[in-house]
Amino acid sequence: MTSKKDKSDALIVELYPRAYPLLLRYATLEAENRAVAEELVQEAFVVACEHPDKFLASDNPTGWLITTLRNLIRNYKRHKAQWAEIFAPDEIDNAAALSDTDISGIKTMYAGIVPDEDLDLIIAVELCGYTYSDEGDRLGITAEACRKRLKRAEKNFEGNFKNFSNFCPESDSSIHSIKGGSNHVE
Amino acid sequence: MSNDVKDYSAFDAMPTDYLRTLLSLDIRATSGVELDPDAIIHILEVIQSRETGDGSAEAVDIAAAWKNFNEKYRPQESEDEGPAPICVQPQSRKHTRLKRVCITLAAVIALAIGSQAVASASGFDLWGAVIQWANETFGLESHYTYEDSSVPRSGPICEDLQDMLNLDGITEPLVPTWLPNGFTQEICEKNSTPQMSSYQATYKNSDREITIQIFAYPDDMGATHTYEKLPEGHTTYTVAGIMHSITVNTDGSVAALWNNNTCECSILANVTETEMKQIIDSIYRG
Repeated sequence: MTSKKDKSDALIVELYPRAYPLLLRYATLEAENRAVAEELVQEAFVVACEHPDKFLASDNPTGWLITTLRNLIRNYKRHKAQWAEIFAPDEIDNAAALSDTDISGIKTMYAGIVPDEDLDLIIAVELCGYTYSDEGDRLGITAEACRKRLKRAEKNFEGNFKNFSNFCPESDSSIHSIKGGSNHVE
Repeated sequence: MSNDVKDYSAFDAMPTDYLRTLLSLDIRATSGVELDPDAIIHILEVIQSRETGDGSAEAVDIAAAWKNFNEKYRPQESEDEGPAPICVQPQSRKHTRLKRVCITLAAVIALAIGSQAVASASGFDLWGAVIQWANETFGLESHYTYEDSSVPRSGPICEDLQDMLNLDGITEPLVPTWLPNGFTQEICEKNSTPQMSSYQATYKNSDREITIQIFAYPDDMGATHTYEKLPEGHTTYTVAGIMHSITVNTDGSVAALWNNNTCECSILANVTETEMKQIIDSIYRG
């Protein structure tokens, strides 16, 4: 007997060749670069994999993917803005242009809130614009595993940040003077 | 928007840049433009066809993308994320800084006026988008809550709008007590920053939709700026001494905008102008 998961997977196989170019064109409109757009499209298919009931229940699966992708793009942009506001509020509209020195300063500023490798991951993805795939390659794990690791790291960061901020008043924050530059991570 | 048979041919004659702008507006949550998925697909196909025709289309390696999906993204039964770090305290901190202005009002107005005729033909509320863009220009975006809206959601996620306002001590009459028959609450949410709180509720009746937005500012921050940007052709409707600006689109959708003390309010709805006035009346019925 074919499970819903199998049916959903079969539908993804069928839709992917036609839907992918359309979805990519859509994501490219608002994503900051092509790599991010490609990743957002892949994530839309991941959501379909993870929610076979909802995906199969739609009488317009390509439309469902479009709606899902729209939500992913919105979440992505909101999420990036939130992290930019934490790390570099003076460069919130241009966080991807931070220099190596700026990034080092941010890492120093927020060191100890979470393990260094987690902070590196958060900064690389949320501030510097690297994809899960990029960071997954660096860490030797899949993009999906990287996404889960990042989510966990961010949750811990949020939890610990309040304690940290008690020792680091906003008025004394050196990161407010950060200026633009390249976007590479050490 | 409410027609059973949807005709997207109006998009076929629109310039490619304009179609891209429409799609970008649709993606932005605060723009007020909400295209249905079939319209988006149609527009994307139009753009794709044009780019293929003039040779400007970027190459897409679908086979490589599919391989990449299966190797790197497709969820596995057991995904190794490595060891879990220590979690200390599940709380977050909110910063107090306003997001800086990034869209110029001039561009918004130029787009609105220059494109109004085409926009009306395609059946969406461009003025609503302008209002929302203007709001964004003045820093009304709320980026402080985390939510997973990746999956299209349904059903209310909180209580009603009036309850939220009551809870926050907002006593002005702002929320309608009457809506046309058949509308039920789909979304009701609040986002807060130190500069303002925004409240939004969306009600649906089949494919008809009513969205109410309220931006509540502190006492020392006025909220009258949007009146400076109303397009020509709007009508005013004054109830309880408060002027409401109303505009009607050719597809029947209606937008209303008004201020009450330090609250800036809007309703975007697939209703008639008469129904919109009834909705407004109900706010002050007591």
